[in-house]
Amino acid sequence: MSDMGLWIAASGLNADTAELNTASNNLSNINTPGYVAERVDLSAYGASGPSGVGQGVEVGSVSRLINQVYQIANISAVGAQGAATSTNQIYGSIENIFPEPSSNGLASQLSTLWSNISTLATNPSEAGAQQSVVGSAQAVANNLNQSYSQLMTLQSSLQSQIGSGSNDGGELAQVNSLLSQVAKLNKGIVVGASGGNNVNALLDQSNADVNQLASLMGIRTINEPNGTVSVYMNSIQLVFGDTAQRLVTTGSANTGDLGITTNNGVTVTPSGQIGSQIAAINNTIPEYQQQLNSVADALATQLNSLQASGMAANGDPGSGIAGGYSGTILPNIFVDNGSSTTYTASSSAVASASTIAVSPTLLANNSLLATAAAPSVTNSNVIGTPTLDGTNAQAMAALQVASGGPNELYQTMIGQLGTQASSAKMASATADSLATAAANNISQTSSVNMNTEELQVLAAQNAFSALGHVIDAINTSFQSLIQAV
Amino acid sequence: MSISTTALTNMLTEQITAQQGTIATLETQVASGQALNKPSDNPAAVIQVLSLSNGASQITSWQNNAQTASGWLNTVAGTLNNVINALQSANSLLLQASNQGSQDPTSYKSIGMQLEGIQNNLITLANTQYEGRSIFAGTAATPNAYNNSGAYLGNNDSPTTIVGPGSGSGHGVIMSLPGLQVFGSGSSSIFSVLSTVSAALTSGNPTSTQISTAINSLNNSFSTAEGASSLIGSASQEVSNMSSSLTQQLTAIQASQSQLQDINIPVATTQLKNEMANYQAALWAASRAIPETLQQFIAP
Repeated sequence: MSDMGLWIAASGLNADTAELNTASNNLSNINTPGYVAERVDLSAYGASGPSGVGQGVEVGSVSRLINQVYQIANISAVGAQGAATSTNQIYGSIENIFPEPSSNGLASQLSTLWSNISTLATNPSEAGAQQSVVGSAQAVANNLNQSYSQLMTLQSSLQSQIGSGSNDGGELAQVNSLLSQVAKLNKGIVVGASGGNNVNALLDQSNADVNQLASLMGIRTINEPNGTVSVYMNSIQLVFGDTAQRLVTTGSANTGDLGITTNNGVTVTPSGQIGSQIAAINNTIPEYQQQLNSVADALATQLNSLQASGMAANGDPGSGIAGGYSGTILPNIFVDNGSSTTYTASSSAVASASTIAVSPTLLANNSLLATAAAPSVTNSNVIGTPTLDGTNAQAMAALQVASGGPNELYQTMIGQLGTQASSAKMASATADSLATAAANNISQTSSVNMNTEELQVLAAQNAFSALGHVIDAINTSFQSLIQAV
Repeated sequence: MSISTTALTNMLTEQITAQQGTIATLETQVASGQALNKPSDNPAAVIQVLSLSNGASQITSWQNNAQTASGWLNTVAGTLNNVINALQSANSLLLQASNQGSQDPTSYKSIGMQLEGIQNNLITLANTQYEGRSIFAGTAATPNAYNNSGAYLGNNDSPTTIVGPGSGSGHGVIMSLPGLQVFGSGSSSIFSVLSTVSAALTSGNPTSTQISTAINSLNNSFSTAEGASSLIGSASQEVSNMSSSLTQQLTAIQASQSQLQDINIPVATTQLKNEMANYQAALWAASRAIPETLQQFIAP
């Protein structure tokens, strides 16, 4: 008999302690994002003596329960989810700008305008009817201005969310800090592993950072043989070993060419949350602004053209039929802005919906509406002579259902918005469930299960107290032997 | 394979969040009474609702026009009735004058003065206003269609309004006729005929030709006024037909609108109740499942 038994028992106590520590660490990190559950790798020491008694247990490394395939699938699912969630939110914000169908929407305000014009047609000289028409025209113009400016606000708030990439608290700054963090962790992993240290915590941290990066801008990773992780966007390498690229924005929301490049000037095309925000800034929002401009253009040019070719109840002619008339000539109904007299249709340089206004001259004198038709063989109208003819106003009211009219264009726009928003909603739900599935796949292998850990603790605890008995027994045997001697 | 505690929590959270979303949508629907609260709720239905609302708003405008038109037309018809009655009185006075065998200047004078009264009465009728507009002045902006001596101040355009769909600005109807088409124009106008004959009678010795010419002219005036009256009658009929067809269309539009837009309250509330029950069940499951681990059974 030797004291070998004590040493064997001690190795067991060691192993149990390691298991308890690992279980304790696992349970502590049960809610830590990116944490991968750990297990102690144990192996039995082989028998060395002729007696064939084993030499106890060896505590190997503490390994992470990780499945790389699931990790990579998760990164792509998280990227897709980041993009879909953000797109859905953006469409939700755009929908809030156009409250349809409701009595506050542009459609209903346009209806009010048409019905007021129709009333004016039967009472062309009635001040109240004229006032209602001008008032509702102003409400429509205000609504267009506000909707347009809300779209612009949304655009610029998205841009400030992205930030410039410098330390401005934006998403791109966060990306840059995550990229350099991953590079730093890579360095730590290489150094730690070469020193024989446990780098599991660094790997977990790196994993969590990579997931965040994926959600922000949709990346791809490659696990290098030395334990480091390389981060790519499309084919452009953002992190390699301990070096990370820095990303900066180029262009701007105003010019519709917001983009992202590396500090070496290489253009990257992010997906994820940032990708969806850039798409909204450069494409989606300008598209709705353009459609809103078309609504404003249709409204203004169609009404202005009828206004120019008719005459007011007081006999004043529109600009198209005035000839050499020496008196007042009717102003346009809609003009570029509060200090203009003409209307310019939208173009790359003109955002008509953002500035469209009712002519200040008309606001000052509501009677300057061309309710009557131009003089012709079919009527007795004479320029300069008051008339209660309302046929031109009737033609204006008929624009309500005109093909290519403002109502039709607006309906098309709202229909498109609804369709796009509802498919964004569905895409977001799909991406969510895919991401949940991917996360669940990972958690099947990598996350901490409380019951499993409890059992580990119980087993280690039981083994520990059994070993205590063994030590006690060996000790007692020695004591009795010594006493006997 | 094991499910981690976090995964369990995540799955339950996702389910609970999804149910909360459904409940929020249903609550909005029940509170607003509308199934469509934003374009994405049902894009196809939203476009339809916008187009139906636009149509309904136009029909309402037409209905208002029809109402205005029928107010005008009723006034015009009533006035024309009075005009025709006045013409009949004038006619019988002239017949009386022409049948008088004994040429008594006093009675001629008296008939002449009565005719003058009828003439004045007709001018008053011709200047009848509806909602501040002279109904027989055409589209001219004049407070009176005729001056005191019976000269026309209006123009020859009928005031119109739109009461339904049609080419151009829509289906137009006349709301009245210009005075020239009711009372005649120039020397054959009622006022000219009456003032000529009443002057002749008042002088005390009219020629029989003067009286018979006046009777003939008055007959023409009579048929002009009758013609105008029948035009107004048919316009009135047209307006009332259009009006009832507009009401039908509006009802139909409102019905389809409500079908698209309004929620079915019993269905929605039942659904809401169901969802609430499911939600509570999920919460209960979560409250049971999440803390239920071995730990509870090991710990003393």
